[in-house]
Amino acid sequence: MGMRAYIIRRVLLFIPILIGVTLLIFGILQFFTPEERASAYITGTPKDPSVIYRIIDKYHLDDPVHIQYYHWMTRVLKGNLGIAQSAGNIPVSSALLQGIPATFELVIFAIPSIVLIGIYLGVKSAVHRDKLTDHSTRIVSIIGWSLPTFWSALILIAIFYGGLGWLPTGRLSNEAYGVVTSTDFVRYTRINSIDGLLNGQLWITVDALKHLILPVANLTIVSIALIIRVMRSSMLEELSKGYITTAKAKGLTTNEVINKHARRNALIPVVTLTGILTAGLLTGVVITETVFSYKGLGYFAARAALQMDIPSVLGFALFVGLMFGVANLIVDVTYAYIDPRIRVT
Amino acid sequence: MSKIVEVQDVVVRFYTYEGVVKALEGVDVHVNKGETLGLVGETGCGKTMTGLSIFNLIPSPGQIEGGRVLFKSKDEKVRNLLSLREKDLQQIRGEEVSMIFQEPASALNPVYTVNNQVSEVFLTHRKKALVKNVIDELEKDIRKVGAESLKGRIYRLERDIYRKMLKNPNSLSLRALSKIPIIKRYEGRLNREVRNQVINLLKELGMSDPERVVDMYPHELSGGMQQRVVIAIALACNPLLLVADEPTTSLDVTIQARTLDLIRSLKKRFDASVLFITHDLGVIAEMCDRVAVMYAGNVVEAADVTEIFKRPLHPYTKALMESIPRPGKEYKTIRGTVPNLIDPPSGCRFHPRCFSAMEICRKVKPRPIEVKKNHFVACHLFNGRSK
Amino acid sequence: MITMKINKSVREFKKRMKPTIREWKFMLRRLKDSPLSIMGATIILFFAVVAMLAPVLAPPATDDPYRMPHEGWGRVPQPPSSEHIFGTTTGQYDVFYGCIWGTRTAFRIGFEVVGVSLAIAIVIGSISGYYGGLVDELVMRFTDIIYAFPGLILAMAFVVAFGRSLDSVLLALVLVGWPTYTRVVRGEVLKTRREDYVEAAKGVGCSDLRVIVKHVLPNSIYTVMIMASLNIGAVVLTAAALSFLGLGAGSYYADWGQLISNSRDYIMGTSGDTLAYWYTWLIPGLFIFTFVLGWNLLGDAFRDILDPTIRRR
Repeated sequence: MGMRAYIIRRVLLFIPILIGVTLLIFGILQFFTPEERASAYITGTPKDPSVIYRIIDKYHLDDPVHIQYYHWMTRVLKGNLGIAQSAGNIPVSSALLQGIPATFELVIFAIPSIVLIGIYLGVKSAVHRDKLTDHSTRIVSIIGWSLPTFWSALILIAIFYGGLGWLPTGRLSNEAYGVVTSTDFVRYTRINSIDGLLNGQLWITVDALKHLILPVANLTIVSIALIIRVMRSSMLEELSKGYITTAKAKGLTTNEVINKHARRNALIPVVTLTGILTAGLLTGVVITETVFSYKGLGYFAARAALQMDIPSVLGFALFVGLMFGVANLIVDVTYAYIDPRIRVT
Repeated sequence: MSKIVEVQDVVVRFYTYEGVVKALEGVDVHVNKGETLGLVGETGCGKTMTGLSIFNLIPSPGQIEGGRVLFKSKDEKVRNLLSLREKDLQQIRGEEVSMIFQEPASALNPVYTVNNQVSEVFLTHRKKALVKNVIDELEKDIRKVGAESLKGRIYRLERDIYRKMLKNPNSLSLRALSKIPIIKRYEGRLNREVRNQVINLLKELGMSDPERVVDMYPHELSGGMQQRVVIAIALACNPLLLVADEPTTSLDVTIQARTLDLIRSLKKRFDASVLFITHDLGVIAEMCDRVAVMYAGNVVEAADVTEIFKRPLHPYTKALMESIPRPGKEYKTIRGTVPNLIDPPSGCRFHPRCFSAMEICRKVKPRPIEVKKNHFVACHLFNGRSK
Repeated sequence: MITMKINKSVREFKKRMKPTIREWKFMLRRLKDSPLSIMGATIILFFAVVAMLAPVLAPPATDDPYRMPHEGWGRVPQPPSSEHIFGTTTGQYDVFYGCIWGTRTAFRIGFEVVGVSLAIAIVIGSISGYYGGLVDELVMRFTDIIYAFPGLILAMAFVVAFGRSLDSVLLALVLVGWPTYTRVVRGEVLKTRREDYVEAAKGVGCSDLRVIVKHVLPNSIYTVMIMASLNIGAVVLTAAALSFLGLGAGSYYADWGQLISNSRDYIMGTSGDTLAYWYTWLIPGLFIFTFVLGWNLLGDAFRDILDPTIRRR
């Protein structure tokens, strides 16, 4: 079948977009003078102004645009994105790498939460159309969609941390942090819930998971409305199609008709949505991590924005653009897997 | 002649934002065992809804508001299908009555293979027989490799699982097992068994190269082949009644002829009765033993096919027959238009277009009267002429 | 003579617009039936009234009404009192004042961003859809690149480059938002340009511009205009997020997100009491939430009405 050919075609299409992403970031960089751009590569302000000029020379920051781009891309590919002043003067690329495990851990739990709950509620709403389930789900999801991420985060903290004292903020409790950073503990992945398991310290995993509940809940509340709405309307559309009558006429139970036949077709637009969902997640992560003091990529980016740390913000944007492109690629391939008709196009 | 299905006084209404559509207003029609009854009428007259009412599958926002559908099952018992619980109705659908649809492309689920969709019917209604076959096959294999060998042990385990399936098909342990990827392989034998049945069925339907077709997706097949798959699904379990809803309307003319031939021969082979819904009088003449004519939600006339064509009684039927274009004859149409079913005409729904309309036609809805043997008409012109 | 001519053209206009008017009437009727949309409309109306009455409710202290008044530069936010009904933020900015004038800012952000994005989208989208070919390819690649970034993050990059100010925020949001509308307009134009009446107009010799403006556009912009006006909520949310991250207009500016951002060191309360400074974030946040909720409720109702599968049931 055309699956392999389709994948190859998609990957080929991906490359110009990648280049486009780098071009856009490079374009934004051009808003700064060569001196400003040079200072991105040093820590603090130099006592000797000639340092700046040497950098401008070395990195070709004042050359014609196409030559600049070439040199800039070479630097980027080697991992040199400048120095992150807001993160303690470490290289931007290090700061990004440091933040990845934490954000990954958050996203890895958030996505299934949003998608599974969203699909479930969407199907239920469609099947019980215009009844109480449908209306209440819709109202709850509109409310969720209207909540400012930082506001809902603060409310969650006020209720569950301040008020009830059930759930904590940050990534780990102090004791867990102590153990994780000690020499006995091997940080294989830097993802605490997994490292806890790999080190045989289950309570670390539990601790990490406890700290994840509130941020994941926040991300879910804010992002779920879209999935529910699309799943619902997609399901409604499928339920009115001919093959549903065929399935019923075969004598299948209502559950079989909904879950085996309708849902699979209804999922198709939702898979496309996962791309948009990831975008929303990455956005939500910036704010959520900040409010919950969850030190991942989002936290890093927000702090950089506050302090106007340009290389960090732009480096972060570049990184996210690339990641997002990859995510979309995966979404397209999954789409082709589910819907065999797509493989022909 | 015994009846296989009798639709009595069925009322179907659709509740839309623009008003209540009175789609079927007391439809009476029956199919005798072994015959092909044609249900003919213009678009929107309610023929498809009549067919669907037999299955109790009127789509929302429609509701069945009255009437009975008496059906004689394979166990010789007569039941009112409209009063059955959903669970019991599901056993009848696909097993004793089945449907062929107008547009095969939309009747088939685009994301599943042909095999998957036809197997489904077998797995829903014939699981026990299939499992028995698998167990027999397993017993043979166990004897071949010896009960104590490694393979033998595996086979015995499989056999026990299948025996359990026979006794209690929905048990929790079975469902849990089928979700675990590697253990799920035990279903392989069952799937192979079903697949063979599907291939045989497709062969009987005259499909060339069924082994290849079986793994294809609906969009990869031509219209005619798609329709054969739909027919295969309908006939898989030897139903007593086949409801064919305009099965050839969306096909090319040459494929039409072949499909009609197929339906005719299959009807004989499987000994089924057919309710053939169509708007095409030519197809009626070719395929049907008896005909029922519908107009705006009512059956206006029902008789043998030759009677209908040669001696139509109802003004509408007469007008229909006259409107068949013939070379040399003047082109005639029926004056007026099909009525709006939200606000239908009072009394006889045809009266605004009827040349023979009388006072009473506006006031009272005519009930069907048997004017000649097996010839029913619902028209006030024939009041008092019942046999 | 002239009045007769005017009457005649008015009648002809009415006749031409009749089906469109009927559509709108049908939509309005459906809208009235939906309790959600009534709630949404009421909320928006409420905020509109507040915005209009701003000078009365919170008299400005200086020439620039968007400069929030403050007494002193104290860092610790003060709780609500008779002087400051909603309390103050860090820097002693009056929360009440900020919330009232922030309403105007919110409307301004919403309408300006959406209005400009829409204008760009209509122009570029119709050219791209109508002429196709290389122009279309270029526009599509361009939108693909913008789409490669999540909105807020790209907006952050833009604001950081343009410098912190309200105008930067507006510009950034427009740059991030125009592709979505453009694609919709382009899609609609692609559909309409194949219609027979467009061919007819071209056959009679109408210039391209005339064809686009008179024939193609009126049928294509329906959806996108409704879509855009309902995105106002989302735009305000993103702007609030940018302000919260410190990329907004500046601590003095009357903007809901800015109010919260000002007190960023205090919104988590103290170690004993998370709600110690609740008024600094709960109240402005409530304004943001309700405002966006109003637009989203209306939007959801509209979406349902426009949904073809549910339209004529």
